[in-house]
Amino acid sequence: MRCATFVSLLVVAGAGAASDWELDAEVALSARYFLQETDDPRQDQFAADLYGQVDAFRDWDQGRQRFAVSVNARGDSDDGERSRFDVQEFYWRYRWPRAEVAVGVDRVFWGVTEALHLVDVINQTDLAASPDTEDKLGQPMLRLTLRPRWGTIDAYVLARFRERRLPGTAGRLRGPVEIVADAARFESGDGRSHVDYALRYSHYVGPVEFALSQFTGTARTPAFDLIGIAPVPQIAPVYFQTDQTGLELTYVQGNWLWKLEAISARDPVQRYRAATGGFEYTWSSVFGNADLGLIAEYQYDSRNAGEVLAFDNAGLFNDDLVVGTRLGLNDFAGSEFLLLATRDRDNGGRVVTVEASRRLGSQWRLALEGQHFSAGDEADLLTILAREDYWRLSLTRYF
Amino acid sequence: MRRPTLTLLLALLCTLTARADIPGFAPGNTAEANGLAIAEEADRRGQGFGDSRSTLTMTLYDGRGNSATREMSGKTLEMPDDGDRTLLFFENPPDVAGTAFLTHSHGERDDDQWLYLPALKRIKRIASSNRSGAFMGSEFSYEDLGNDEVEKYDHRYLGEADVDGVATYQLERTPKLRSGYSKQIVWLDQAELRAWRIEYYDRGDRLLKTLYPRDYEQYLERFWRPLTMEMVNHQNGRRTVLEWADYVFGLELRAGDFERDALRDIR
Repeated sequence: MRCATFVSLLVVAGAGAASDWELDAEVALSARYFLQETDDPRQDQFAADLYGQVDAFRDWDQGRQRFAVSVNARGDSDDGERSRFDVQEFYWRYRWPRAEVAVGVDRVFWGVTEALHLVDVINQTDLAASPDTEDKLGQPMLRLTLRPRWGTIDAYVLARFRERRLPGTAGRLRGPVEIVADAARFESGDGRSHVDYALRYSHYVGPVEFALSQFTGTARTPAFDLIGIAPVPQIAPVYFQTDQTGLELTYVQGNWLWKLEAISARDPVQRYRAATGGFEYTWSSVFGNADLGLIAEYQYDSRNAGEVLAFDNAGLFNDDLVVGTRLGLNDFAGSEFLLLATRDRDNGGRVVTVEASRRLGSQWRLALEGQHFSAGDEADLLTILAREDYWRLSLTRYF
Repeated sequence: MRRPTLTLLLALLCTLTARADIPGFAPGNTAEANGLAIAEEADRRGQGFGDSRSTLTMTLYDGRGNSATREMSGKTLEMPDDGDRTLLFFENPPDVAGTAFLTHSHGERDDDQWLYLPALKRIKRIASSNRSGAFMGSEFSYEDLGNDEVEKYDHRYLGEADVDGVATYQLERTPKLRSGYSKQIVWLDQAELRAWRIEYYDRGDRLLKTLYPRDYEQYLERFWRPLTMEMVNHQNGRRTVLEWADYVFGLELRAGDFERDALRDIR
């Protein structure tokens, strides 16, 4: 009897709690078409995938406590490395007026620039999902945030290292090499269990915003070992230890938004520097209601490719200029358009990205994305992507 | 017994039709001085509400029979020595749900504005020149929805006018800061100094839009809020209707709830 009462109490409490949940979901069907064939018969020019995402959170205790969950899953017709499940968020958070503590899996974005994200280091990138480096994997962490009047301090203990997701054997965007992610190697004897730490201080004063950050632990970006040559060269990721100091700066003046990201970091052979910065200039009310933005960013890296390992992609963007434009039509369909073109000033290598999307009705969105890669010379790392130009069309239903 | 009732009724009528008592406003003063006096008095009457929360439904009409609806919720905090802070949170359509928009408005300098993009969990600073840009595809610009700090305009009193049977003061105000307009003509009702109509003129001085605030409700026995605002664009034939609901005041919100980093907690 007592047990039955307890169970029914739990059910009632659960039902009450359930009504406080905020739920969002989306399902997307995408098709990717690669303009060129490869020499590897295991690869296709066409692939389709189905993606689903569910977000839920609940606040209680007058908003002081929150529990949030966000999970996603993708099934790809070709690439097993793209057919994966991920927990993006699964955390509990407690908030005081000027402090906050959170435990669990979460995503954290650092940075200000558009084309390249140098400073952003908390979450691992899912390169199998998209080559744009903006798809991230959930990171288990403990976060403590303090908000004194002079800024925000975030301290992170990053409990478990997550390996980068990279295109699989049957997948594209890997070039003429096969990536054997299972053969990953770690500099630290702790491997994936290595605990990383990060600290960031950020503040803004009128038109100026800045952040300083420090990360110590396993580098998110791997270098690659050559581990086999038949039938194609096989490479495996190597994760070195690093410490990275980062700076973010934004200055806004009228239509101008100036941005800078700079890092100083260490790899096994050297301490290196990289920076990216530029501006975004926005015109409002062009062609009627549209907003038109002009983006220009420069990318610098003190490293040269292959300094650490033969297949390391360090210094890919070492002396590159990015120009782009962003157009928001501000119409009923919320139509948006983005074009970014990166050109290496040394060797002439180019990457061009196009993104366009519009709403269909009120709950659907149609998006088109394309990328073109062209290598500057034979030594250019972009050579491996020379046959990977693609278009991707996706239709998303939001709930 | 009849006399006091009549007196009471007269007194009541007087109150209803009374003009606002406006310090510094006098027939002999310059149009600029009177304009400023009215604007300052209207501003003073709006002060002291502390904070508020409400929901907002925005309906866009394209003039060809199509319409689309956006839903959002917002909260506002009055700052003692600065412009108000406003946090807007989008709920519908679902592809932009979770996007949030934070504004710190200032008197004589550009507002500070941030956008929160939930897909990347990214907070983006926005160039405040976007003030003249369209808000979410509507006929309202960010500027129209911002706070009408007195310091942002030069004012000129144009005289009294009748708007749909309501006695109003007519003002012209010229933006001092970067703006999408050359001027605005504002009609404020004489009793409470509430905006009754606003005309917006484009940079070429042609009539661009007219705003019709309607359904004024009084809160905390002092503060008036229009529950409906209709913006008609005369040049493209489109219009936008904003409808507010569920106003709550006295939430005891803190400035910290409106700092940039509060955006990453909004969801």
